[in-house]
Amino acid sequence: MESEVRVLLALSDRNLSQSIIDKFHHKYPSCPLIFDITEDGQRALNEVRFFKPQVAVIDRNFPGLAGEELAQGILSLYSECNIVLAVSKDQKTDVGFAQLEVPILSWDRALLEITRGLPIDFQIQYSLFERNQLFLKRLEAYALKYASQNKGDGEIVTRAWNFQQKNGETEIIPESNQSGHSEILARSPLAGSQTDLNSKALNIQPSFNATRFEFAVIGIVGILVGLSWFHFDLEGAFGWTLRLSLLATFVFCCLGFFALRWAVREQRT
Amino acid sequence: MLLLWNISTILAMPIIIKQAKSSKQLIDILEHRHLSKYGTPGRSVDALDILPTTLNILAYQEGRIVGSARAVHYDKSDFVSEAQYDFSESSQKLRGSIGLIDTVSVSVSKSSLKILFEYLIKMSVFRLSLKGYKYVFFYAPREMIETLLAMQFISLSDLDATGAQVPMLLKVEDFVKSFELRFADKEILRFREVFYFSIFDASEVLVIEGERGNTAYVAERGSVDVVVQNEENLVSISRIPPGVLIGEVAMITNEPRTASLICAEITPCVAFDRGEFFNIMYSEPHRSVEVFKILSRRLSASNRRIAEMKKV
Repeated sequence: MESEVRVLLALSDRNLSQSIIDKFHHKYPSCPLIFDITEDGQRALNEVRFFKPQVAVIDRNFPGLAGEELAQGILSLYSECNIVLAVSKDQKTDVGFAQLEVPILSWDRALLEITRGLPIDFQIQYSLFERNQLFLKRLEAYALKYASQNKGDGEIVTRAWNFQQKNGETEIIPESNQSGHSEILARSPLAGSQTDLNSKALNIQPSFNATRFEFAVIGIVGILVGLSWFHFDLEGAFGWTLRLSLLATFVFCCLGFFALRWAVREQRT
Repeated sequence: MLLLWNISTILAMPIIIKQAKSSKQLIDILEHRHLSKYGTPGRSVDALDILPTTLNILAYQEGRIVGSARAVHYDKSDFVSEAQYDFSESSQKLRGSIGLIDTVSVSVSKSSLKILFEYLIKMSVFRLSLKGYKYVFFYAPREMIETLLAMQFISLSDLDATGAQVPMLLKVEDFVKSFELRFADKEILRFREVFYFSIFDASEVLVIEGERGNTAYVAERGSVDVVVQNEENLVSISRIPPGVLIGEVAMITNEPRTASLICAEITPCVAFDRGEFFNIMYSEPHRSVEVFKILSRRLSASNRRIAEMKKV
């Protein structure tokens, strides 16, 4: 479903456009409509390419470019647009335009037609929203007739039933209450393997956020070592110094990586 | 869609009972178990929690865990015989894998206690059945005996004896058969691996007309009113009895719900979500025959009703 609906208002009077927008927002405050106002037919055609309106409300007597021409132009650029052609009351006519098959409307119906011109998905959700407030109230009133049944006093009851096991149980106390933690662990028959048990039971992995960074560094240094030894034509003392330095760096990076992992594991233990 | 819904208090907050699949859910269960047992924050962990054969079931409501159960593989060497009942003698007479529901904890309102307990046990048994277990032991609290006897549990000791807990045995096949008997659309229960339980209270609204939903339900008991908006009024067009699949069209097609469903009484339901259900359809398309059977039955029933109306 669309997350927003785009409406092009191509009307000769900007005040009228703004008035339509204001009325629409007042009536449908949460409706996600984006309005684009234009008073220039040619500019409207240019904007359609980017704006891609789902609904276009077009003044039939558009200055410079007739409303029908503009409508045809919009449809040729963006065929999914729903066109609403509007005229002022004193120019109302019952004659439609066969080529476009769109109704000619008076301004006071433009608001309604904008809604009808919206994509069908939006219409369903929006019509639901329109009646939602009242509808939910009615639904609530209907449902409440069953509400008096089987309602307790809201008191929460906590019960636990256990079957004793041979291996006993270990408690893990939160940090705020750690004073008895080591004592409890010492009493547990599984104290010797507590870390593994905790890790497995709680699916805790030793945290090593720098793993990817370390691998990247080791990888880059390893590539440089390989290149320096086998590809680059490094001669003389400088060349050998560079090779040996890169090799030493690579070795130290690897050692450092494993040392860090060991240290982290020890810390968690 | 940036629609601002006014969430009404009638929108259902059922108790949902599922198997725990993630670490976070397991941690929640451990904390809840500890809190239920000792009344203080913490986590209770034992060796059985880390075994791959262990199943943890959790129940949550409004994002808060309200109950849990654990089912483990029964191995007599893991269990003490002095303090509590010795199942080993019974286990020698049984052929097939045996599970044990060894921990159940609940923290819920008094009125929901029994039903939550019942469905935690049922979910545990269904999950054990998926793993191929034939029998289940349970050292049951005495106050829940009637509920368990109705689930086809049999007592291994004299029911009249004193003692807070009673050893019980369940043959999984008997339980599943008796469970399916109550469902008119029993084919849907063949998708046991993806269903879960939702317990709705009286006056809760399962679905709202016009909204898009992705869950279908089958009530195990209770009843559900079908209500539609007719101009200014809400009209109840029917009452759906237990055992009938409801909400399946919206689940399959993603179309708006055609009516609202309101629980007339406490209604535990078997529920299916679209995502997991469709995963099975895509991976095992032959199983869609089960769904076709249900829909065909509906269609022929509708045709019969139309024919009868035309005769009139």
